Amino acid sequence: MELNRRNFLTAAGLGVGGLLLGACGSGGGTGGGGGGTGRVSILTPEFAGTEGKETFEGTILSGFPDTSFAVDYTDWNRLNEKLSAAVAGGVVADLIMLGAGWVEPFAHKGVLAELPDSLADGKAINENLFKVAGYEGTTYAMPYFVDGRILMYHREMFDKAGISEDALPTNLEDFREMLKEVKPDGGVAIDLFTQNLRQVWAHLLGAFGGSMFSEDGMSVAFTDGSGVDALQYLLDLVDDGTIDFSVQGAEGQPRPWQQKVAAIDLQNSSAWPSLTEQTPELVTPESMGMMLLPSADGGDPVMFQGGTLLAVSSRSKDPELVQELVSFLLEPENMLPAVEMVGKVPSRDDLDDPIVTDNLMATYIIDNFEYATAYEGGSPAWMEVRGAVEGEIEAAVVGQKTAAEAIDALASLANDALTRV
Amino acid sequence: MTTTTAAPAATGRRAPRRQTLARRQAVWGWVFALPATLHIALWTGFPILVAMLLSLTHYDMLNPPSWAGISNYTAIANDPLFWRAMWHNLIIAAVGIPVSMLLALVLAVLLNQGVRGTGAFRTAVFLPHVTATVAIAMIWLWIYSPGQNGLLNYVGGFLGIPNQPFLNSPSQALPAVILVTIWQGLGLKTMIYLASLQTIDQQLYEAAEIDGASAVQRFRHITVPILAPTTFFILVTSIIGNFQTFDLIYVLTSGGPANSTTVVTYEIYETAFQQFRMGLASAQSVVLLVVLVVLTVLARRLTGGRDD
Repeated sequence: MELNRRNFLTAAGLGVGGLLLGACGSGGGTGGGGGGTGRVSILTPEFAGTEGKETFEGTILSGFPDTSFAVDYTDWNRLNEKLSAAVAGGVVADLIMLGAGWVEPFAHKGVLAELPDSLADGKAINENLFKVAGYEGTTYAMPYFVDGRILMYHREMFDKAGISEDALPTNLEDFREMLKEVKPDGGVAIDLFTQNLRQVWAHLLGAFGGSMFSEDGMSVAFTDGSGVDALQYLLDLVDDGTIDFSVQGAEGQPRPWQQKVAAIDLQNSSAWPSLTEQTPELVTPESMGMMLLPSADGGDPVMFQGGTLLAVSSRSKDPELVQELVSFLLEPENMLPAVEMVGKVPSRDDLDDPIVTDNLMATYIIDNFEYATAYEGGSPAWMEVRGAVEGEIEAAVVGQKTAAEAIDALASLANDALTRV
Repeated sequence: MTTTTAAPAATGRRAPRRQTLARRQAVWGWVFALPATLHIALWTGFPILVAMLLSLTHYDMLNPPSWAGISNYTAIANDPLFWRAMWHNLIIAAVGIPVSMLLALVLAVLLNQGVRGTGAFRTAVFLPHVTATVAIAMIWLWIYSPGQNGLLNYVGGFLGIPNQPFLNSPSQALPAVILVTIWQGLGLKTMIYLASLQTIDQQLYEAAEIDGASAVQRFRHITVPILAPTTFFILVTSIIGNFQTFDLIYVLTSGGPANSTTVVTYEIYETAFQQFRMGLASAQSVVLLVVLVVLTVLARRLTGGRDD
């Protein structure tokens, strides 16, 4: 090997990557290695804790024949760095569970293997959910769980304001007026700040007909006015007093909506298990109503789509085996215990089982799969941009910047990131 | 003659032996220092060198590094968020370190009086230092929690003080963080001061008392000068520790709201592990190193240059 500056830099970089991996790696030392026939490594942000591990490995994976598994559990906050450190260290797990908006960056970097469309045959996965699973016309992942964002409201507060279920607003202007009516004394009409503010803005961006990036993901799209409109709408709600930045859920405590400090909550469907455990009386059909965020122009409502995708590493030594595992995980008998454990919405819409049908949020979201859209991501540069969005949106919400200034700053960051793609 | 000629001969025989002994001692000195030297070279020196090298590259961990020249440093110079983070570090240091050092000195002097229950009190003061930062942050999250669920707001409610947003407010979040850093750092500083206080010869105080010096004069002219090297040590380690603060910010505020509590290490983490701009993150680390060296030299000047 010729010794030159580039080789030396590569070696140094990989050395640091290796050190980082060593520092970040789990004690078990079972992650990756590319796998081989009969052995599959898995990186997952789901199934945390003893019960989750028991369900995933003891109940689900144990049914996959003649294969041993090395599962690396992490959480969503650390998945990004864990995956990238693994790529740098050359020890990527064979099966990777990742989120909506993640496929484009990692497919672009060559981390993910192409998947045959036939893998979804007979799986009853809603076609709309595949929008987040591909890049440049190629499928790189299979939808596993869906995290939909819907509006949950207290029926008693709506009844008190004289708003019936049949007369819910169908555009954002009417929605804004309704918020003024349902605001409880000393509280807020809607809790938009317990959720990740980046996703709230992205959701509103969708309501204003915008998107973050162009179709090919190579240019910024929210500078067409929709980005400012979405943020300005948020600021208008602050001015109305129907939302308040200081009213937001704290770690380990019930959300403002659960404390009846907020009439409406923009909720992630993955919260269903904690809601039913902490405040079961609030999440009955009699107490709780659900609706989707209306669009600005009164057209179709919008539902922010997050979720968990199954992808195969391009470095897997036995991709066929891992694809078989993906297919296996999507079978109803294997998906149901997984859904029961994590409390999320399955990507299949044909699971007629109390595990799904008793989950009111899940059934509502499945009924509205057609509106599900991943309003964030969509570009190879996304992973670099996503961390900066919340700070800019917050700066506008707390009055440090105008909507236009915040969006300009965000656009500048995104354009800068795109130049490095 | 015999005597005069014999003496140089004897000296001549002894000199090589001394040199051999000195050489042997030097060799053994190096042998004993070798493990620590290798350890520092491998785990500190090498990473610093690699970081300096990577700071001159574009590197995203997924592709090989490419030469970038000084563009990462130019990017830092034009990055308002990085300098805002640096400013936050300086504020935390400028407010938190003097306050905590003063409190630690007062506590140490009180603990040095030998009153009953001192042992239990020492333990209580030292406890925050040995408690995991994440646990501390979680407790303070609850204390600062907005609404009546938070301890501070709950207590404030009894006093008629309206609910405060604390960590949810851009103007209150940084002071709230500073308070936690003061509380967390108090224990170690107090123990170091206390250990130094206990080495001071009591005869100095007795002599001063006989000469008519008041308690304040004794403290000012005996205690403070003798504690100067300790003060320098605490000041330098506090500055470095302050600029290394990461976990507290990560758990308490994640740099928010609106980046109002972000600090340099958090920005380096974001750049490296959220944006995967390892070259830029390395350059930020090098800038931080330079700032720390400058601050350490300044601290040395401030404390009179005494570290013995």
